[in-house]
Amino acid sequence: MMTILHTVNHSPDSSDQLRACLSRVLPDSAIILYEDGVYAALDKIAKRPDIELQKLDCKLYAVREDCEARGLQEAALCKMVTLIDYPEFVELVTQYDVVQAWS
Amino acid sequence: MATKKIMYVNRVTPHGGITAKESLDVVLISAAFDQDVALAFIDDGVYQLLKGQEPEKTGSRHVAKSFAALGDYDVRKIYVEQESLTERGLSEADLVDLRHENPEDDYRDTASIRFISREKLARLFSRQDVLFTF
Repeated sequence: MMTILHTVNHSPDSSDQLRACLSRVLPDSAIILYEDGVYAALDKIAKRPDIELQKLDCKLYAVREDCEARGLQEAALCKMVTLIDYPEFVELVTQYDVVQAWS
Repeated sequence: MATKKIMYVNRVTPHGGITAKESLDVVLISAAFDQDVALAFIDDGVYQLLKGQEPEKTGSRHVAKSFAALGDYDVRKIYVEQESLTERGLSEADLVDLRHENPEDDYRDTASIRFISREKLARLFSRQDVLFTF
């Protein structure tokens, strides 16, 4: 089976990208939140019943620059999230078999 | 030209596209035409007012910084919907402190942002002559 890297770049309230992704994500895959996707990493949003990132059993990343650009403080983010930069994003792309860029 | 009550309702994120920037441009233009302008921030729009944004990190425009100029354009009514804030785990302290000199109070330095419930804001919508939603 191929491993999948999911990418999400819209806020969970402006698009159903994240929900579309979460309902199909498998344990050996990973999710990267980038651009407006990083708003989902806010702890309060992450714990919402329609999102529940704390229940994920796959890796979850958010791009640090995009958090900083939007004024999201690291302390306000869900503990599940690992912050990465764009070179690490590219590195992750190479580590998974397929990229599912939700749009 | 007759003065109209115009409210700009902002409900998108600040750096997801050009909508937030376009809204601000239109607000400043209408304020220059001496209209009775108010702004409302609801849903994802409340993110536009978050403190500590560093958009230069990703090469986008500093909308929150431009909001600081609104007072100089006589835009003094900025409403933030309380529920939209709490649903996102945010509070008043997380937002930029926009201020203006209040002509009705001896030009005293006054906070521009008013926090308002969804219900009250919905009623305020119905008292405008024009609503523009971005």
